[in-house]
Amino acid sequence: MPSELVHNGQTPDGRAFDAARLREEALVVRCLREAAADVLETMFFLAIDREVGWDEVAAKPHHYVEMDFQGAAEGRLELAVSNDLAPVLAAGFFGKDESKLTPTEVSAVICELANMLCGSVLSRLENGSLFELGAPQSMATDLETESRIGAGHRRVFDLGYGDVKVCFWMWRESEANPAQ
Amino acid sequence: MAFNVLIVDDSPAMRSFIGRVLDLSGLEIGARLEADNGAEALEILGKSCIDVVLTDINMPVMNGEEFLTEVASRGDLNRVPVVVVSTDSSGLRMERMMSLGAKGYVKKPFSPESLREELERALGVAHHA
Repeated sequence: MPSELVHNGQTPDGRAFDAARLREEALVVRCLREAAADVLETMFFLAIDREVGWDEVAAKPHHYVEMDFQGAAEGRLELAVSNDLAPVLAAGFFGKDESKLTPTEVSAVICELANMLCGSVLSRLENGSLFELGAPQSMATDLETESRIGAGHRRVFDLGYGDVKVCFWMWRESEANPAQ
Repeated sequence: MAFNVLIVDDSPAMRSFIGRVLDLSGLEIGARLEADNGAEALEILGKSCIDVVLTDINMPVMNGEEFLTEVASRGDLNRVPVVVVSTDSSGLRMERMMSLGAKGYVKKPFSPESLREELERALGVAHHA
């Protein structure tokens, strides 16, 4: 938020300007980007082509996974991988031809991606804290995906073959749970 | 010398990936056994000759911390080096696992080279390119 847009401690739409929160948001977004690039390149041998706006990607079916974590802070990571990209990721992970993959294998790999992404983001954000990661839960692929994704820190990564949408929420005991 | 490796992870996909990375690492691997959790791993360790264990932390039945504690407390097992392979790479978690007796720590995501280096360190073998 440029300082010239803040007047009497308020943004143009009347919200209180909270510099600390903006800094935290910027940090979370940076960690999400770094973690996504690191995990996708190292474990799946795929690079992120570009980052796109949430509303810029076409509505299409996705594999959806969510996982919770607890510890110094609580939160959730939600991940949606487009159906065109999911088998490419799984093929890279298993070193198998896409045509030989089972749906179970593809789902398992998307769960692993969520798990590694969540751990990687948390290790960057809270290196001095302990967290317990819950098991990733895979949901049936349907058009509900768009409405399932929450309103946390959202990023969309275009990998050429398809997209990865990530939504990350984190809150401390002293804060209201944004998911409720 | 070929090393017998036990991979402990509740995810079959991750066990398969680690196995593939081991194949690519250049280390000479003998038997490659797998366990779904720490309790299964203890059973296998009790009846097989294992040179090194690679274990996850978050697992049902018996997690990685409980497994390490059990291995460290048993005179028949505590000479087998255990290397943790986990997405949780916070400094505090790594310190905790090393204090419980882990001989190495591989952070996911990881490359074949980093897995090899950590295994060589845990096994006390020199790298021959």
